Amino acid sequence: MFTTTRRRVLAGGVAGAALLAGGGLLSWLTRGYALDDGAPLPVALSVKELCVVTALVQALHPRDGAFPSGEDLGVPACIDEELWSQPAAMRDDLKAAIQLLEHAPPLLGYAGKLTALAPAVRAEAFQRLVAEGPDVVVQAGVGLKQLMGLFVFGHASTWQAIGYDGPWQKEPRPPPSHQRYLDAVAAVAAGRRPA
Amino acid sequence: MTSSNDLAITIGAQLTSDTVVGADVCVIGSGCGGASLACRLAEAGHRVIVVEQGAYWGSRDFDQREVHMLAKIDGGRGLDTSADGGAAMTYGHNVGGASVHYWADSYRTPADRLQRWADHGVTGHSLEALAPHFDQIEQDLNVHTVDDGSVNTMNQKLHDGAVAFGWDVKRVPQARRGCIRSGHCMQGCAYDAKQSQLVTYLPRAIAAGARVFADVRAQRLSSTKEAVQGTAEQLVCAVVDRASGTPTGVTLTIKARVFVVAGGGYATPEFLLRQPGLKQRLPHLGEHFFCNPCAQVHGVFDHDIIQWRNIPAAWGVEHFRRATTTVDGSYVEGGYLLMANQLHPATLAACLLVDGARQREIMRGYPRLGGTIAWIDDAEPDCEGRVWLDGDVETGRRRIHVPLDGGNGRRLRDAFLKQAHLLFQVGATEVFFGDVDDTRLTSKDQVAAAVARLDLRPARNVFAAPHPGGAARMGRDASDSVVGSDHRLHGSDNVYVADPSVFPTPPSMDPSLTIMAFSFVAADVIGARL
Repeated sequence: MFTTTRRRVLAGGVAGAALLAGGGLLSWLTRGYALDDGAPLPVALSVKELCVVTALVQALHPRDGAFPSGEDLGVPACIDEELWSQPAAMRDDLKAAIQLLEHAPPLLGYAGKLTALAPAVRAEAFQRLVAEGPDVVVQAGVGLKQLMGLFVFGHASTWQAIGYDGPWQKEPRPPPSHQRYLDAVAAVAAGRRPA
Repeated sequence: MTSSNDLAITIGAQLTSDTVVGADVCVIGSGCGGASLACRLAEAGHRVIVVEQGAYWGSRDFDQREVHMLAKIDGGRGLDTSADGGAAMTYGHNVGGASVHYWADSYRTPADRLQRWADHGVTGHSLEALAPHFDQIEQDLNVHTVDDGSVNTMNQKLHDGAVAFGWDVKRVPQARRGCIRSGHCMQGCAYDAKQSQLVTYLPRAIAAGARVFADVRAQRLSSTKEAVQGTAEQLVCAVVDRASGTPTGVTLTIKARVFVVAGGGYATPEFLLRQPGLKQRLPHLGEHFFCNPCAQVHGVFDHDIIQWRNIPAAWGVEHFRRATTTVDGSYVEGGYLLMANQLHPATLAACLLVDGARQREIMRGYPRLGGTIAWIDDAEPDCEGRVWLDGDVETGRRRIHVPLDGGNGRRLRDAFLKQAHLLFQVGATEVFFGDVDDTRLTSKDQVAAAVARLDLRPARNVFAAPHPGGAARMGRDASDSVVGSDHRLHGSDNVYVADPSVFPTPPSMDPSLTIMAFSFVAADVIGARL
């Protein structure tokens, strides 16, 4: 017959708290990520990872005077394409970096995930993570920051704002990985597994 | 002018079933080391096959867009870093190797460096032995000193600053023919003017009968004994799909009398480490790695600089090439080559680790932004890095360590200091480093303190690593090296290495001419035995 003892009550309490904490953690890790209606599904990134990347692009590269926003330039999709085109090991590193950054702000005292912060606070938190965070967070942040910079300032739409007269070769010739990515996006949109 | 387009190169898409081919010599890699060796052997009448894991692109594919060209011709699509993120590994991944994105700087190896290598046990590569090779290569690549029209504003400032400080500054010999000064050297020359391997030794090798395969990744040498002892008989390669970079399942097998590993400073040690038992037999394999990590400093001027046009490096400061030390060996200063920098906007932005708003502020002033770059001569034992496999020889990931402290740290700090002073000397109103702490200076009085504070831990700054080598170094025997002075792997009858992996230290100058001259020596050794 089951008898209540102080030890059992304590053990039950700890187990219940752990369950609640685990459930809360799971919820904290997975809830609150959704794309806008009609937005293309990512290929290499998960929906959560794309939301994190988009939130970072919004915070770090907003529309600013003559500068188009990173979102207008399609930077989140560029990052998805880059990851799709990378070897698996590099892709996994970058995906892990995105996950890490999303949940790192509490390390510096912020009261939420990166995506839950207001854009200005998000930008500040990200830069503090890159400047003050543990080495692994710094490396993750720097890698993403470099990718964003590459795609924002590699885009012809920003060149006028920075006084760059652009390439002398007028016809863009994307690498073959670009068409492969477009094919993969179309496949995912059609509910198929990308090749 | 030789065209890089329509060369008779077999690409991966043409290899649809397992194929076996034979040759006298199989060369792995088509950059400065592999292409020059292949040409010399083919023109001597030997049957040569070259395999290259990257794709074949000609000048019509070079659209001068940084993002496109990083994906086409740079290893890791430009994103590869050392294991701790501290160094950005810059290397070619295409037919022609790094010569397709290099700056065309073409120095002979300094005599003092060749003597140092001789002291390490290297024979047959003295200044006298290499001189006729340098003469030949300089003729083949039209190496010359450019005229004043090729000196952009930033290069002129570098010169003027160096003269003001009494530093030794010289014109940088250039491998160009008919250059129109677009400034897009790093995206591949769309005009076939830069004398990369694509327009020099590769077309000549092909004309002499060499067969070149692109999109083909060398995997395993099979030998009569384990660990590439004795005589290697064949090389098995995986054919790679160009768009995805993954194996198609088709193999290319090359049977040859001699195999030459010339994949470059990153790929060669990786390939050799993947040969079972070789690391155990040759403990120096993967050690003594160098890469010339670069310190970059940026300056804001009150007039246009337009750093992105004209050739990147017309002037070079050689004053600090050799580090100076006190009588007890303590570091004093130097140990780097100093040049004007040339960064197109996407690459520049990727080098700015400051926050987004500050990045836009800097980029708004792009036309008035100049800068310099110092290639660190990571030649001392406390500068050495390492290459290893994180896992087994089949699936382990290649990892690289580049120390940013120790000897490299001292050299980097001194290079930041000298560059900042030079930029102020020539009129910069602000100098900054682009680091995560956004170090910004408005006067030369702030330089010393800022450099002392600079955080050199990995990923706090961008240090490109463009000149890898040393991880299969040349020496006397397996107790101090990986290959002998005949370029042959210790303990192997017919496997050679011909690229900067064999250099005992960095050459202390841009390495392309040294690589080619060493390959000529290797080619002559191999030719004599065939």
